[in-house]
Amino acid sequence: MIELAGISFSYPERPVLRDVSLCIGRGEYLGITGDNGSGKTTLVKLLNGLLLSQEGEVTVDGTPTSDRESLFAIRRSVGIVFQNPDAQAVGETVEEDIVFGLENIRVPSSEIDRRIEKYLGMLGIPELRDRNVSLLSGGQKQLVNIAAVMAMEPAYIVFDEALSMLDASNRRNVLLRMSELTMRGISIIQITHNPKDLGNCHRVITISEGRISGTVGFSSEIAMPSDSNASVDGRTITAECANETNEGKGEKSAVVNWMHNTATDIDDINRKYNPVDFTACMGSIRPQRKKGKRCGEFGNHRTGHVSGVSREGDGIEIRHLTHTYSPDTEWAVPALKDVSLTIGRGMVTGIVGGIGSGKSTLACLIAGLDTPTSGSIAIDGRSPKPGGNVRILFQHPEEFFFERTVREAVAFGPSKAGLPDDAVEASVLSAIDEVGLGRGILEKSPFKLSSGEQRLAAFAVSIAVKPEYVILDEPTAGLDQRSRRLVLDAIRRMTGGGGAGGGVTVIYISHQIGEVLEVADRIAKLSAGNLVFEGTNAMYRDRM
Amino acid sequence: MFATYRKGSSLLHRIDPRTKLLLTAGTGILVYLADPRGLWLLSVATVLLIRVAGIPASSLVKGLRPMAVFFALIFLTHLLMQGGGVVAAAIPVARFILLILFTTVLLHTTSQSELKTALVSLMKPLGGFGRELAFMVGVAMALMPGLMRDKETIARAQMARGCKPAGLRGFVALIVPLLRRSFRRADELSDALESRCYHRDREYYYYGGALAGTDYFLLGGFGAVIVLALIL
Repeated sequence: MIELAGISFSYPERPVLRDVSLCIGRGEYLGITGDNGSGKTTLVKLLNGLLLSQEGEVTVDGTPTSDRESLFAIRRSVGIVFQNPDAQAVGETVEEDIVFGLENIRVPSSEIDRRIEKYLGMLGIPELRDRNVSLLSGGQKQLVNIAAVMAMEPAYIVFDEALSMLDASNRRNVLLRMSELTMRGISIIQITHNPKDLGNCHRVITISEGRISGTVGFSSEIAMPSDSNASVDGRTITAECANETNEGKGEKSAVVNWMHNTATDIDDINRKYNPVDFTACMGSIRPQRKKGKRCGEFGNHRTGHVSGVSREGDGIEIRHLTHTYSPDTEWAVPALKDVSLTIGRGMVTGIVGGIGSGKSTLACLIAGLDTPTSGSIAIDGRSPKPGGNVRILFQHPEEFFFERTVREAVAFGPSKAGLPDDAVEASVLSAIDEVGLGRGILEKSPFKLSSGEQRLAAFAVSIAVKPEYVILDEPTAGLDQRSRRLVLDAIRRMTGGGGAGGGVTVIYISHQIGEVLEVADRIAKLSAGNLVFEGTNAMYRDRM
Repeated sequence: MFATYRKGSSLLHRIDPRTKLLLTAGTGILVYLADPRGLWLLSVATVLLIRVAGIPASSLVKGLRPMAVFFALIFLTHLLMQGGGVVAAAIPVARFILLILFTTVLLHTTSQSELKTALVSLMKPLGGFGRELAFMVGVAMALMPGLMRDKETIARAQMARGCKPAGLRGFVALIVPLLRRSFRRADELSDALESRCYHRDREYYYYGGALAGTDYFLLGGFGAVIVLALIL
């Protein structure tokens, strides 16, 4: 059992966690959710002694994490899979990466062999064993990280947003494996923004502003054994944990509402992609969800004005596009195969597909950052060139800020275009308005904003130069539900969907199909470099 | 140079990494000692080794290309400062190329963990220090491809913003995000290492094994060649 008793933690400038008490039983499947910056990752690092709290104590099976002598034992029983798949691999090949942890805990060589096979097989990636980690895709790396931690066979496994880059089928598989592990008495602690990933949890807690603001437990439906430590069937939670919550039962309904709200408008879509139905497990708490009801303005209101493909020579014409990385070498990777596609102006085109399907490659080619191996791209009749009328926003665009204030960042493009000062100011203000940020943000440092604000500021940077086309690569990656809403709203405004300003043609690239369907007029789906679907949003929904 | 290892079963892949490491070091000495005739011999040996290891020519060219300016500089310096003609100026360049090719053969046929294990084993007489040094080398090598890719991504993102990769502004636009990312990456990696139970006294055994008769034969034979080269 992991027990947190009255934990407070602050970084030099700001308090992060305040008086958090929590206990996690053997075989429990705990979900932790909360907005960006609410303190979730700090909480994770407290669990295995990477951080020590200033107040209160964390104990793992009775041993406090402040006991430096027992740190090895604690880390052996609490495994953590972190968020960033690029910063966790220690080995050059997948095999070496898994061996690293196993050598640390002195697993005999023959057993190492067995475990590598077992866990790579479990995650469906046995063929990656001898591959070079740095050449894998983000999702593949996440699977390798998960395998490496699972192979150490810890008693508690923490997943800190560790599924964010997985496509639907891999995500499904990992969620299934997590449930299986809890059946065998292993505790799973899963941190995520994505409510649909928490469907199998025994209990979900919400953290906001450093406190546990709510708990949804399913303890009432679970038979509580007299022996409080038993976890035979995996669905039991130790008795003293079951009803424990910081704020009492009064908060429960708020959490249910929170989940209800976040689940509702993406629900219909998600049900089709995710058999782990989030609402199913809430059934006992929330009587019956009214089918077809949508939250506020987030209905699909863009079926009317879409006419389909635009006039000849206008828009982006892609003809027989093929692209191969490192051609003529043994590492040649075919990324796109004979893709022909027309992207009309003034609308949102969603480019969807699984990991490694060629989405980002297509984006870079349209933006003129790469030259295709063969085939052609014409943007309003001209060939693409970087910095032209197509702007691309890579994943996590806020990481590319280098200016001191948001104003400087947004003004960079327009002033470089040689506009007079007042025109620069006007474009800065209109860009900020268009993405829905307050003007007060202009004088702040881009690094001091919340993650949602940073993302929107990066949007403003790219639309300040009034480009004709904007390509957004996974624009909601790593954001909480609230910030996602803001981003989707901003996309609608950019294209003129909300009435104000706009007129930008948006190409929205993502593996989160549900979100794309909320805003896209047309959908193009890639699979292993081939275009497998192209048509209107409604056609896509019908077909799936 | 980095991320070049490919699993294989060639003769070179099967030799004990410690032996390969020592042989490569020995070749380094030979390359510096050799006269023009010796360099020809070594070149033939390199070509043979590259064949045996099954390294594609394109990846060799790719590895050498970034060094081209450096080679040209050495060549010109020797040509202008020391005289002796084109051939004499080409010799130091040839030495460098051979050195890089031998190292490429090593990195292509020996994985990072094998190298690490070999380093640890060879540095055993140095105690804990040797282990930590080997580990640091390994971590640095693990971080390198990521850093290279970060640099690439940032350069592209700024280019897409219309920010040219030239001048002070271009430098700042590249270096500020790169440093922030690198520090964060290093932080995250250290968390991941600690969480996976890294400790100073860890042992490297999965890729280990005792030196075989072939290894002693190779090392002995090679030692004799170096001694001969020194005498002649």
